[in-house]
Amino acid sequence: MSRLARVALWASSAGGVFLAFAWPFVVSADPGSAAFHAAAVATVIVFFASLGATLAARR
Amino acid sequence: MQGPTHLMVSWYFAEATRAPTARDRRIVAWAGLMPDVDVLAYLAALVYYRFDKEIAFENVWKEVHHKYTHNLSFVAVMGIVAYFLASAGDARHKARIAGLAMLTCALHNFLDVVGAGPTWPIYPLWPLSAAGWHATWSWTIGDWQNIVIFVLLTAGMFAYAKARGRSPIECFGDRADAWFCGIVRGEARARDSNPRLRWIIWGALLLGVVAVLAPLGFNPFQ
Repeated sequence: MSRLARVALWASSAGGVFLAFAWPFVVSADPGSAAFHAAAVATVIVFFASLGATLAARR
Repeated sequence: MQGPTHLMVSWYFAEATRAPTARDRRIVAWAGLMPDVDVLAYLAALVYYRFDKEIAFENVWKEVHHKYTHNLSFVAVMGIVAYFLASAGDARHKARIAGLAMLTCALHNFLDVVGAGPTWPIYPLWPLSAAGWHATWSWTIGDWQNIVIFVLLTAGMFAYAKARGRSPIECFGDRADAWFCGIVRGEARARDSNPRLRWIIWGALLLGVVAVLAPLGFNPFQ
């Protein structure tokens, strides 16, 4: 569980960096894109959930 | 998102990724807040324009905010600074702290795309390109999503201090964090108190509250 949370934390961090810096150049520069909306909100949720889970599992 | 939110997220991230010393956690946490250092330009503009908020906003804040500090170049600068500030250790350790600092700085940009409002784009490739990037649906500072995140992070600060004996207050120094955790854990009475330190901490907390409430339009003098 702890390992899963850590993996999710790193994956969502990488995802966030991609969405901020690469998405408009690699995928779509449309600021109203529904795909970007879904991906960004999902990334935020996974990031905060995995951050909380990782910290809760720390000894 | 608000400054205190960025600082707390970045400290939690440093803690979750096991930045080994308090100094390293502080470096990673402050690197995550640093893109908002351009607020100093607004403060200087307020003084320059004799506290005329409208003119300072139009002439400086609207032009400056996000442009020079919310981009990949600034992330790289933060990495270099963090490398040289990292606690004593070999090059591998310093590179790791620099990498974490760059990551929190980059995540600041992502969280601002999601939660700084549609009128505040980031500029990913500045100075090579002035193209901005924003989301039309981005939550504004006062939207419930940002408030919920801030409240959860703040509640987590108390819970983590109680459970682990350290907290994001560590960003302001070891003694400040020891004082805070001592109170949360009910150990403060056993220690000698330092009145000067106490005033500094209460001042920092007050500034934090103002930093959160001011962008929401809260003005007790109106």
